[in-house]
Amino acid sequence: MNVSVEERLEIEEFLALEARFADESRYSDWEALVDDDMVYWVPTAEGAILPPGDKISIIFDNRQRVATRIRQLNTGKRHSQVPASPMVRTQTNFLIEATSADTYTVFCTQILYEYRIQSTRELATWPARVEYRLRRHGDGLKMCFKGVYLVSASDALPGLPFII
Amino acid sequence: MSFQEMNTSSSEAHADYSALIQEDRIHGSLYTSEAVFKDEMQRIFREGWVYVAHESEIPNRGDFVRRRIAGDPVVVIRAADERINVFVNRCAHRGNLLCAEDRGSTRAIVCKYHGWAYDLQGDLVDVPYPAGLTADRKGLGLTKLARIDQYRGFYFASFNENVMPLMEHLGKSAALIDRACEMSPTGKLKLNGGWVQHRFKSNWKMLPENDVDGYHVSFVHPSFAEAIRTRYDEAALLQSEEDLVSEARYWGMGHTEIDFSKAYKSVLGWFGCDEKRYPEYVANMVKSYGDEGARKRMTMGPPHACIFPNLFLAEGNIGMFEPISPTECIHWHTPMQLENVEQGVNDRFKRQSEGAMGPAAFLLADDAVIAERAQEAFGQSGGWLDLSRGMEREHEEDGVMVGHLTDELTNRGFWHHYRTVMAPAPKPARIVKAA
Repeated sequence: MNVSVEERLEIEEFLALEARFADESRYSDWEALVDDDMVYWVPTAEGAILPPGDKISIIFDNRQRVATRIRQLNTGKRHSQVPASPMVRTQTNFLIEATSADTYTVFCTQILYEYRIQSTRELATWPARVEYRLRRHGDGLKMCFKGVYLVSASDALPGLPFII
Repeated sequence: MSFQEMNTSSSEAHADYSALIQEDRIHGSLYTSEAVFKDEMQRIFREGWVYVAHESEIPNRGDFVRRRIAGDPVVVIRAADERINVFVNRCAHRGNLLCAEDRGSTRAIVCKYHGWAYDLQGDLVDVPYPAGLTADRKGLGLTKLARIDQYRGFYFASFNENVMPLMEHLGKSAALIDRACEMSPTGKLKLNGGWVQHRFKSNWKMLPENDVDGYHVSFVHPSFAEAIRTRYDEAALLQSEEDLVSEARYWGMGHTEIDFSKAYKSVLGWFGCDEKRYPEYVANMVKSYGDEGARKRMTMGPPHACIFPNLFLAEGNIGMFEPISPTECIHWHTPMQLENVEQGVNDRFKRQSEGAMGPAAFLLADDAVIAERAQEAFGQSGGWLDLSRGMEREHEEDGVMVGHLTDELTNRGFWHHYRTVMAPAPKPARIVKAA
């Protein structure tokens, strides 16, 4: 189903906020955008063409594991993000579809630049296609699925302890 | 490389490994030197045994996976039911890469450049426009690694036809592979859960060192300990020195272990659950190993051990270490999957694997940054690294050296074996240098 211009604006604004919280390592603010049945998935190239979980993934978090991930980052003792990587990402090419009266699927492309300040001090680039499933609640939208399909998913990857 | 450099390279000075590796300390240049890295690739990775693949990754005739040994691409391919070959992944004609895909299945190996075709034994069987090729085809087969052998489905290979027998290289550590395999009621693993590769900007030796270092756990992983309760609380984390019952072990030949099993008191405790969770698995284990044997195996859990130089038996995972350069390496892992168990058991292995291992995991992401910071700290001069912790309290049990979990027994074992391999007693060796 097509979406209205108003819905499109609302969704793009929601995703811009999500990107901002992730870029700025505002872990709890980011988690507040997550629904109770969240799945956060970064598959390998081999696993991306199969149902999530068939092969091991780089990240395959259910809601509970998202909470653990955020708790760990919030300790301030996760060496791989102390200090947190300065990051900036752009998302574009939004394809938005309404999948029911209160749910949406979004496909977009994402380019993330991450400066590995805590270790090698190299600039890492993380191009990816991203898939979201969003659900409308009384107080706004929430994410129930985020899949990040890395262009380099078949390769050996450097650390990915931040929110991608 | 210039012609002049080529002429001098054979006579270039090697590092003095006896001086750089002492009883209680090692020199940091072992992590930074190009010359040391080159020696390692020759003496450890070409002249010794390296782990290449598990039989279950290539179950059918023609199945192959690509790997790298000492920087050379190889193909591990099943040629027949009971025969696996390892070839350098390079056409005998003009040197092109033969298999470009990471894995697959094929009836013949055909070069994309000029169409030379090899059978699964590596013999040249067909060339386009054959009238022009008058050379003896027998001399134009693929470069096969000189020695291939396996233990319980773990395949190892060597470029050195005079390498010691595999069982001599594994020595007592074969018991660690047994322990991994015997988590399965059939004694067989199936490594079909997919691989994740994690790139470290550090020397490869930090992987086999850190992976069996029981001392760092509380300091590198406090965020993990605070965020989630796990089996490691008792075994490695939230204990005083006197209360830690886990042990560091040195099995000889460079093979090392940290053994958490004394901290595990119940069946499947190491798996974060109890025996009621997987009744079919428990019943099948009892059927295979008897009540006592099954309970013992399922209480101890799988090993946490490094088989020199590049195989990591990582509890619920199998790992590989791949050196890239003095300052870069790849930590590979795949979840341990057991034959003939309910799907829930294997799914649990996969999910625990994602939690512990790889670029985004709760544990390894932090280990990688610590390794990268060590590499940064070595700079160009390296300096000395202390390895003395626990020398006074290590002891022998049945030919295995045992120490406190936090002692550097494992790293001393690794380095003393490394010194033996890197600075061998002079003897004539016939090494296949064709690759």
